[in-house]
Amino acid sequence: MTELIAEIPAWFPKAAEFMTFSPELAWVGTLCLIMLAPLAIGRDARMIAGLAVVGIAVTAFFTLKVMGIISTEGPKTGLTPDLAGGMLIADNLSLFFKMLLLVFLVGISILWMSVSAAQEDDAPEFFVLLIGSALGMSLMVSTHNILMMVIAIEFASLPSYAIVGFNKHKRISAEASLKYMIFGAVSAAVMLYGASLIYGFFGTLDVTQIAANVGPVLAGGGANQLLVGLAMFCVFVGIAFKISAVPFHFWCPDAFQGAKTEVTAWLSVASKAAGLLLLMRLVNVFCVNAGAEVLHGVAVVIAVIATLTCTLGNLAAYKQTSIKRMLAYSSIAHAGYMMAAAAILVDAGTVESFTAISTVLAYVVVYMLMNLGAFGVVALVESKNGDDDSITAFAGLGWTSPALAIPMLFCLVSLVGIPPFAGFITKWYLLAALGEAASGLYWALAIVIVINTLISLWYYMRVVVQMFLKESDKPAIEVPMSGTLLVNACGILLIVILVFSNPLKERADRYSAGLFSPVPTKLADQGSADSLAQSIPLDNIAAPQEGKHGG
Amino acid sequence: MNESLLTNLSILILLLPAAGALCAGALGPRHLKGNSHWPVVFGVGGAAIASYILLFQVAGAGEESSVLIELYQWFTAGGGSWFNVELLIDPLTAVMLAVVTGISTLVVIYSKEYMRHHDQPERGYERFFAFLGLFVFSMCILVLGGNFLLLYLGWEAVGLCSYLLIGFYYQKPSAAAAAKKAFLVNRIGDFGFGLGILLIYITFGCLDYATVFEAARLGMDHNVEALATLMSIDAIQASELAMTISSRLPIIALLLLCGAVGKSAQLPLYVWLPDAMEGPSPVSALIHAATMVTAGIYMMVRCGVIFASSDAVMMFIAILGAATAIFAATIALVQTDMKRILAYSTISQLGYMFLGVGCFAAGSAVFHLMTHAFFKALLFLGAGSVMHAMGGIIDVRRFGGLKRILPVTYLTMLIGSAALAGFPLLAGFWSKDEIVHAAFNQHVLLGVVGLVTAVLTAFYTFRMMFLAFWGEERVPEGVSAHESGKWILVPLGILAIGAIFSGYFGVHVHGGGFLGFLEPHGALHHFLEPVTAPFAAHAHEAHAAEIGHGFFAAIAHHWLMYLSALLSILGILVAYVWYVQRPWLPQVVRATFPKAHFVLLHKYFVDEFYDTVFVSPLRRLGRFCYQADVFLIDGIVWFITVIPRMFGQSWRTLQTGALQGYGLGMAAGLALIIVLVMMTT
Repeated sequence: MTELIAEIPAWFPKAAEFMTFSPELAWVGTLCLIMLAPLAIGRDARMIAGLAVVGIAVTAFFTLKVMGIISTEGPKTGLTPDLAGGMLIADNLSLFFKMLLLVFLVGISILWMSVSAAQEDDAPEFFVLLIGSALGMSLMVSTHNILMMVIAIEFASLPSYAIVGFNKHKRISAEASLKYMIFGAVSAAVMLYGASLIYGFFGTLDVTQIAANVGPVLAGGGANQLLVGLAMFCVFVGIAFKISAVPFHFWCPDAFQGAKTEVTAWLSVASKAAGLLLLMRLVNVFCVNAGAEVLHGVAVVIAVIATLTCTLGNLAAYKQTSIKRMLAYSSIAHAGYMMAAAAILVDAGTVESFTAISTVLAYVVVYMLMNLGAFGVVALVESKNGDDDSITAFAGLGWTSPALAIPMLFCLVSLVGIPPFAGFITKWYLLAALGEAASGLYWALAIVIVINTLISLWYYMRVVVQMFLKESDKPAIEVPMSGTLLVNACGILLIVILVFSNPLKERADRYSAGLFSPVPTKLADQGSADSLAQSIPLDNIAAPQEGKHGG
Repeated sequence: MNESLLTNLSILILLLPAAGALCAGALGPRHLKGNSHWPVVFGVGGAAIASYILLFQVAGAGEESSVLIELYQWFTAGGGSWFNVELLIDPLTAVMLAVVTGISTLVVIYSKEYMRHHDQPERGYERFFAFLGLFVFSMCILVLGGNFLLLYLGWEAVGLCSYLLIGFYYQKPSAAAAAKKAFLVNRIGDFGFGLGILLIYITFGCLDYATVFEAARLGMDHNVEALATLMSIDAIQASELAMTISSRLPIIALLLLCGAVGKSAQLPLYVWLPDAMEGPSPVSALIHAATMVTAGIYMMVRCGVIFASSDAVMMFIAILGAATAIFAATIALVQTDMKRILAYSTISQLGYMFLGVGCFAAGSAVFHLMTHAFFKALLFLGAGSVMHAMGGIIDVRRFGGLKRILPVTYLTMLIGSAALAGFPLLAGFWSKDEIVHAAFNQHVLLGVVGLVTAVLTAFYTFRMMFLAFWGEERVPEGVSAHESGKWILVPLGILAIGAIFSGYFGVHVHGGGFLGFLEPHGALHHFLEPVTAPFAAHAHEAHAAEIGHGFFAAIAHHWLMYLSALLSILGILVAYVWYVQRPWLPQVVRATFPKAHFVLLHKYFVDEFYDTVFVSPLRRLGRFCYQADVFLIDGIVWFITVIPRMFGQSWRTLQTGALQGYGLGMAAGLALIIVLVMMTT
């Protein structure tokens, strides 16, 4: 009997590992607390929101603490027996994104309080779904392992589907939720298929290992090349779905229009940012570990999709009559811009992915402010207009409610990317990063982005024209103070960030450097790929088992 | 110098007006209403106090009077180079700041009363003060900025404020048109200015004053070694760079000059300034007389290394200034709108400043800039006070003999006019005399033009004064004229004191001769020497050799001073004879030279000329482009959008529930990309 127990792999993480992942633990604790809270304190929306904000604050506290640890001790992995191929990672990028999500959650909660709280009966469920999807998104950015990626994407997606359909009494909401879910399911299936092919071929799901060994296979040609290329692309589909990159964007406008506006604001930033940063992490891993021949192919694929995404997003945006749909397409276009940065991986060793990640980090922060502000104003206006989300509902807003119209103006102009707003500076960094990479592909991307910016000017300005140049006999709308303050804070921050752009750039540089990157092992002689496919899994599975005894 | 104190002061100077403007703009419409002037009064006033402390700090610093304050790195230009937000504090900045914030404070105080009627604030009262505050902030950025980027930012921002304030009464079509004209004409100049800055960046690879000026100096001297050290490049590159610099500097100077010509309303881009008088009088006083229009002079003095490097460019500037001075003065002779007379006079005086810069007398130009700011702001504010009393009428033919009705306004304006006319011992006398002196040293003709303009100036100024304040007492019908209140009169009084005494900053008391006890080139010039050194280094040699002692030598040396004093009095006397003693005389003169009068009255038909040669063809081009836009571009756009619209169409049908369409799209896209992947790898 004792022998049998000894045979059972016993493993328990150390206290330090718990500390490293305390944000996630606090996050889960918050979820449980909100779920159970109705039993103790009832279903009052304000109480629940307050509880959620406290939970978020505690999580943020631990996140900051771990940031401190990371900055002295370097990136960490843990909560896994195999520390070399860790499932979860705590490094600058993942912690930065956690912090961003938490701040954004607070913003969304404030918006929700001022727009929906009054007529909401299911506050606990709403917050569980919201914070749950946030946890999933944060996990997406904290892993190098394809299995964990799949789980995290699903973790982020499932609550998102539900939260999009949260407007139970509206048909459009249910339809949006269903479409979102079916798309999500298809994408997940494709991703899983790709993951299984990769596991079958390499015998590991650790991206570092794969990146280090994929070069010769892709260069080798024949069936293996096709298989591995296809598998990698299938995994990419799952991420592209989250980013809503063309052609996996079909769900986006429908889901964004059907959902409540604060949910739209949440998904348009958080879900896309999670997908993008996951992509950036993969880019980083490939930059460090893969050879130039792989990088070029990957860069071309990303560049093509980025081009398609921003161009189609902008073109489709400009015939929209619903401002939510318009902003949904705008968010697709912005995802395209950010993806363009992900394409910067020219040659391993010569260009660090560092610039690309830094660019995206800065962009995501500003993008969050712009979208929170713009969707915030939409939500506030819509809530007083009987859920009318057409662009004409904004007519005359500049004269009746300047406190809403001016931040809206700031956010829209910033979304176009012209000074004096922060959207300009981040787009400038993006163009500068592409220019610095100095090769035909990146110049082409930069030109695409500039042309797209010109296209986008037109449809954003349609809203401005409605707000300031159209007359309206509607009375001024009375909105809660908290909502007005939130959107104005976003607007003002956009100017402040332009005037003092250096802190943003410095932080983006800091958090994009020093990412977790384990040393890969050469799996086998690449000469015989067939034997590779058969022999590797056994070796690789054996290795962690030895470790388990020690644990 | 106490650097941290200077940093704090300069930040205060920037932030106080901005905060005041923000406060007036945000709280004005709902909460402050008729009290909207308070935040701006305090903001600008605080900035003025800080500016004077800063001036004393810099003045007390002696040799080391230039400090560069790097506030923070702004944004990266890619490749590791940064654009910084940096402030340069030196004597020129200190003087400019003191002038700008000092006059601004008085104008803001004045506006409190001027911008209301029967004690009721005018429509847009808070908007007016918010814009004023914004203007002061922008002007301070322009003056304080330590690199060309901030200079450009401030340059464009003051242009924007000028546009907003000229069009303050935007319901009036003439005001809206004037604002548009000012903006567009300035665009022409600013286009060149922007190109100049771009060329600087291309040539030097950076935009900060210190590096650019040092590199320009070394490049002109062909000091290859030092240049290599400065730019951290090797000797071969440095010698190439030196060649590039010496060949490009004149081009850069000319491009920058475009901006100065537009902003400081010189020939041929002066046409916007007379129309800009559509704005409220305090705006005319502050922006279009005392401060913004002098930005061009400031910029040229600041970029002395670049401008002084080419004698041809300097000669061009001098000729341009002289031509503008006499040209605008002749137009002013026959105008009847008080503010337009002053506007042409401003153009003429700015011409003097250009002449000064062009004759390597940058210190004198800045000196004239300072004295002119006092007396011209005074005259405009006085004209505003007259306008206020006359119920908005400013045509000197429609009233007269106001000196009993508006005694304080009359007295202060008389002082201002005398200063403008160059009456001996007042501010304008000293500064103008210096410029004319420098002009004689450069070329006799330039000096003669300067003297003739001085006579004309004295004449038209006192023509205006005599017509408005002397003779039979007349007021327009239905106007109950009354002297303005203390908020208007106190600033006038302070400016009048400035108009009398500000000239003495620029002269020094001479112990020697009897008549020569006051000499030009005083404390101000000495103070500005570190900045104007590039001009002095290139100055004409005749300049240096102006020494003379003893009684007769002093007379010989000072003949110009006496001559210009005499000419000024002569001009005033002629005006007196024509408009007070023999009022029929102007009629006779007009009848004798009808054509000359006609041409002058229509301002040499320059506006008409521009209209036929530039504006109308451009309008036609615009209409053509619009038509082309409607037919061609819209057509192309329509054609291009076929794809998204087809997309949109299929979208709508799929929206009804056909999810399969989405799936199909996704599968097709997937397949396409896979094909692409296979083709590229």
